Amino acid sequence: MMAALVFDAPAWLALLALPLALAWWTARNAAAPDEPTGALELWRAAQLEAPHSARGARRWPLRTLFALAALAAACLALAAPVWRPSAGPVVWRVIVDARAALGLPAPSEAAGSVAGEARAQRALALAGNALARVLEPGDRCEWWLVSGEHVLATSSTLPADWPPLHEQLCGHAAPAWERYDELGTLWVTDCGAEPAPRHAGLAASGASATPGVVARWPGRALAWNGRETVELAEPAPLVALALDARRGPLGRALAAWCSARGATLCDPAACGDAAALRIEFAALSAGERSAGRSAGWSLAGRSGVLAPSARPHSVLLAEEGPRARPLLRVARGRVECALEPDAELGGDGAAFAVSCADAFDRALLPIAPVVALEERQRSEAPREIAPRRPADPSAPPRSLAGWCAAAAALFALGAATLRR
Amino acid sequence: MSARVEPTSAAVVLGPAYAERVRRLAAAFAAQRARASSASGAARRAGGGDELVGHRPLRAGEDARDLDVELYARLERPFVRERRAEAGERWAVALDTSRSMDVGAPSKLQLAAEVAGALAACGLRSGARVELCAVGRAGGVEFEVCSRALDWARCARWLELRSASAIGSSGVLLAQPRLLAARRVFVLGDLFDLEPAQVLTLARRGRAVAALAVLAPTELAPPRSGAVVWRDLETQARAPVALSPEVVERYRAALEARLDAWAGAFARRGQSFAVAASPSPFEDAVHGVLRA
Repeated sequence: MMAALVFDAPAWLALLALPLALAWWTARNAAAPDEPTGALELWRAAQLEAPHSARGARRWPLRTLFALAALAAACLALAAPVWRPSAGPVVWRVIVDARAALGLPAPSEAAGSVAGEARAQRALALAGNALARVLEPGDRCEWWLVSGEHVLATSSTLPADWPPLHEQLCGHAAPAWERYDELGTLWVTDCGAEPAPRHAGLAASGASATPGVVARWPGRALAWNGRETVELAEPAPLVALALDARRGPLGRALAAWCSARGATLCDPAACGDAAALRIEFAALSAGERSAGRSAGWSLAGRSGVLAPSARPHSVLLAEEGPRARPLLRVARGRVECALEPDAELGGDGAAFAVSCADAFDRALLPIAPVVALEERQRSEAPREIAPRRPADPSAPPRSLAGWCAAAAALFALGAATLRR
Repeated sequence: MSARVEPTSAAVVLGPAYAERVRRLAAAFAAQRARASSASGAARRAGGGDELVGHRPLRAGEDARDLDVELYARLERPFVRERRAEAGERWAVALDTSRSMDVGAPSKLQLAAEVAGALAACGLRSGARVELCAVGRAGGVEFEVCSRALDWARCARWLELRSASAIGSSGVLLAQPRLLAARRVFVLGDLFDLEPAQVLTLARRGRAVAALAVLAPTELAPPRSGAVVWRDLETQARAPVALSPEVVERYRAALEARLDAWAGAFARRGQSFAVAASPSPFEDAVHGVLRA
């Protein structure tokens, strides 16, 4: 079991400069002067019968040594040293920032920088180095990709490709850092996290001003060129929906919304990763029917089960009844439907179209990786704080202040009683 | 106290008063020598001893017994007889310029150079040809030869160009053939790198040898307490020593034994040996080596 010596009042350690300065001053004065002579051999002969004289020329007075030791021990006692036995094998938790800004290029002027390297890669490399310094046999690491309070993905090995491109499309927020501010944790980001970590370590790649798109609408974008923001024309966004699903109520509402927003409908196989929004239907379960009701409209039909999602999402339509499982789920870049494409629409069709248009709007923006203006303008140096090993909660810490004070008293007594 | 950084070897400085002090010393030496010659006047009249080489005006401070009363009666101006002690006599002065001569303030080399200059003046005043030799900065032995009184200023300039920069120079100097050709040989240095027998090999029939051991105050009377790191300037070897009365007494006993050995060896061969502290007046040191 490892252990750590920590100080509860480390500010007092600054007083150690006093005995150090005294030691320097004493050494400076205790050093024997260098005197030239032509009679060196005579002195050597005179020393042969008194060899202690050579040692005496180099030795500090014992009294001085005791006084310095007393001062140093007193300073240590004031700093309240505590011996904390640490836990055995540690699971180090690495929190990786999922913001799109991590995909921007890392500052090129930093030491050891690789041209074209993303901030995420730089920060992950720093984290890997920091962990290599603290990892001990038996320890392991867990890497968490976090947006706000959501853990988007986990890995047990260093995820060199984090955050992945499809996650950047989703406009994630910075992790809720304060939730992860504890010993045995390392934050991975580009700029110094707010608030600053008190217990966790930090691996920040640094940032430099990076011109680029700061806002985007279908067909238009707003970009910062390093001095000002300018408006740019953009190609129409692609919305992926299977051809056989376009006859149903959701497909028809989507077609109307696309023509109003200037988006283009495409087949999922043809769009590939270029689709800014995907409408997906769950695999239907045999014999299962579900119905859901929202404000003024309802949908009913055969249904399947939506896979659990770790991404931030909202539920547009839930099943009626105690199960209340989601039937229409909206997340950034994706709308998932548990009902069949040809589900029956009941109630006010116009209200259904308005609800769908609102959901599509929320799911579409941003339609491509967009980094906020203040994040593009930010410039910071790389920063590292070594992660610290957590203490063993079962072993109580032991204060060493008393021992240091006792040592200081004994040294002081020795200095007072010694003649030289 | 911090370790002192040793400066580069100090230059020899023969101040403006030095020439006057040397002149007085040489005059006194010449007068003393003349008195000694007068004491053996019968021998001189028989043809041996000092040779009369002429007359010159009496200078202030000179012994009035050398006044030529006959000339004074005729010319009513004071003239003294000038004699050459021994025609063609050669003096050689070997000056130790090893790095250890840089010790002390003023340095040992400073006093040795002052003594060398004074000896040159005394020799010239006696009509001798004086050859100064020392190891130069380049490592070779350098000479300065003076045969007339007017040459003394050149000797002084040559001495001012000496510096304590040679390594182990004394042994090289003693091997110089010019020393073997001299009637009087003076060895000036701290003599720590020599033994009496090495110098006394020069003492043959008809050749007098005198040695002057110039020591720094810290070598003659070191402090009795504290700590010091003694350093040899030639080898840069160091010896840290905690000074105590016991250790210092042991050192002084060893130093006295060494100097006694030198004095005893020279006395047994009828030669002259003297010890001088580097801050002492050069006149005392010159009297010490010329007394033989």
